[in-house]
Amino acid sequence: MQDEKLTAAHVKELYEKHGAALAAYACCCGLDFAAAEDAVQQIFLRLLRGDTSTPQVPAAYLYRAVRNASLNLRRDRSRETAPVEEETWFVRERGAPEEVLALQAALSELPEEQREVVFLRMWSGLTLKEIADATKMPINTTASRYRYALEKLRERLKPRVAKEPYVES
Amino acid sequence: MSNPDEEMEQYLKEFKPRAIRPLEAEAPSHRFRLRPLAIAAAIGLTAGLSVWVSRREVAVVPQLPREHQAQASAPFTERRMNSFLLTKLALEDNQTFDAVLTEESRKVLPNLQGQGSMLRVLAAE
Repeated sequence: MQDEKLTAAHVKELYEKHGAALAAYACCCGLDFAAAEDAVQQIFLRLLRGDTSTPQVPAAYLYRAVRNASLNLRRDRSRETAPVEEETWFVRERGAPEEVLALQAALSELPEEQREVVFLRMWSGLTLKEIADATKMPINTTASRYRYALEKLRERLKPRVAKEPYVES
Repeated sequence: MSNPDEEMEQYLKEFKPRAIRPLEAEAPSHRFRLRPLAIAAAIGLTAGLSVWVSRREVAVVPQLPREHQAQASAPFTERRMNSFLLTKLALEDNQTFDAVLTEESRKVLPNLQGQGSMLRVLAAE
């Protein structure tokens, strides 16, 4: 897979599509929402300046970049302030706010590689095949990680999922 | 994919990541493209100014009037003396050069003439 420099229009399009999910992902990696926004902005500004080249499927690259930036920021800030416990980085039209907090906690507890697959699949809209290609992992491994992640989330959120079955609008 | 997984996916789809602020693309690339130009302009301006100043100082030296050497040397010596100007003066105009040295020596060496001269002070002692 060949790396390429992105055009400004392409970078903005990626930001529109993945920015919010990347910020949520950064929050799952331990940042507060403001710091997560800053981290995502910095990564996209670097792309705009053409400082870095990205693979043809840049979503996986973006998630890796956000994860690294989050870990660095968290390490730097660990002595300054504690993360905000009740901050939400997901929204839901219906249901109690506690459900958002429960989902956030469940996602934060997932192993890193499983969390990445869930975000890429659920909130960045990639297929399992695309995720496998982008992360350079076999499709079976990718599918297993996804399935294990869903299993763990279901365990954690079981009462809530059972209580409110999703109705397609 | 099995049914429970689909159910879980449907549940997760109800949650949307919180919106973030728009990308602040205040043309940083533009700013970065202008930076080398600004640096080059500053270097050019500095070099031009230094050449202009040095040429101006050199051009002043030969215009010193010979008939008023002692008076004319005063403004000359007010400028910062440097070896280049002194050498040039010594080569081109001996008389002015002597006048400049005399003027400078009065500032540096002890005064042996006049009311408050060192000789008078010693004699009084």
